[in-house]
Amino acid sequence: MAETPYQNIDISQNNPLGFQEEIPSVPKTKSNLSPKIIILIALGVFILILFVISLIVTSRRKNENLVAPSITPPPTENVVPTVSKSLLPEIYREKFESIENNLNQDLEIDTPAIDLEIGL
Amino acid sequence: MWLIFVLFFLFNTSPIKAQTQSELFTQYRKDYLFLRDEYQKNYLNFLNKKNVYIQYRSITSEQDMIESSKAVLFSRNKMLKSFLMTLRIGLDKYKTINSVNTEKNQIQLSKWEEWLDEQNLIIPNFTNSSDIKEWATLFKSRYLEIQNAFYQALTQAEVNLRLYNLNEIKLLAEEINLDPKSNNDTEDWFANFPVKSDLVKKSLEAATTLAQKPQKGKTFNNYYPEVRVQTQKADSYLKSLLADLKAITIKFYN
Repeated sequence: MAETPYQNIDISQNNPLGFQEEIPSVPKTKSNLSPKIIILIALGVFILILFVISLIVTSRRKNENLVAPSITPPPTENVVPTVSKSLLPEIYREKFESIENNLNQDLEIDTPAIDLEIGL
Repeated sequence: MWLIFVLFFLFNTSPIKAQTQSELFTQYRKDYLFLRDEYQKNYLNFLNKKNVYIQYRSITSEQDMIESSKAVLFSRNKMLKSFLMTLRIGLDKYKTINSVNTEKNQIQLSKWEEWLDEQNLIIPNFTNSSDIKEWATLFKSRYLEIQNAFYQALTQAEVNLRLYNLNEIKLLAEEINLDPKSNNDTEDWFANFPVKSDLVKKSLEAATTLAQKPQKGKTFNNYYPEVRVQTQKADSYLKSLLADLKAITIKFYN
């Protein structure tokens, strides 16, 4: 009596006879949008992103401008003893401060150092 | 999409406003510092090419050295012009306190700016080392005058600032004197003011005299450190005047 090969009919992958069931491919749904519209949408999204970035950058710059960076003076700079500002009447305080600031405001520009021997 | 474009440009526009003197000065100063860096780069390149030429003495290395010399001289003139321009703009700040002398300094600076511009039209036409040498000799002698012009302008800027501060202190003292609470407490200060004011002015005159001294010899006699000594003297008198005024004000208000 000839031996019948065992076949698990539930699992197609284990078919010892080598048959493979063809799985019917799911047909892709074709989009109705034309390529021109897709390009336009992509451009629109890109411009929108640029617009949002520009708004963020502008607002950040504005915030930066509000806070003026101030240089921390070295501890040895205040040589002249000064009277406490809080004792000054408020109406004159600003004027005194303005003059005091002006006293130390020379033109901050280094003179150029050049080599006069070039070409000689 | 056009709407987005329109919105984009609408949100990004900012009103055009005139630059203030200090903004302009800051901008010119920035330009000067940039051009100074450019000059330093060109200078290093020139030194490099010069060393190669000294080592090999070939026609190619000589040509390279000539080109790098032209580049460094060109950038040097641009840097110097930028420095003079910055200084000229800087003088505007307290010009009203001494407009005649300040204007004279500004005219001198403008003259040298123009001269440097003219030189930069000549430099690209140099073809050999002797052209460059001839021009470099001329420049060296002219640079004495340029140095004198910019140190005079720097002195003028320092003098103007101190005269302005002296005037501001006087105006503030007059305002305080009119205050009903003062009870003529400022009289002593006003009695003392001409003496200290004269000391400030004398120091500033000494600084101006130093800067006006004619230059003799082929090298520049740098008087600027002496000018700084005089302006610092004036500063100490001004600080003393202000400190006294402050003490009086605190006294009658407390």
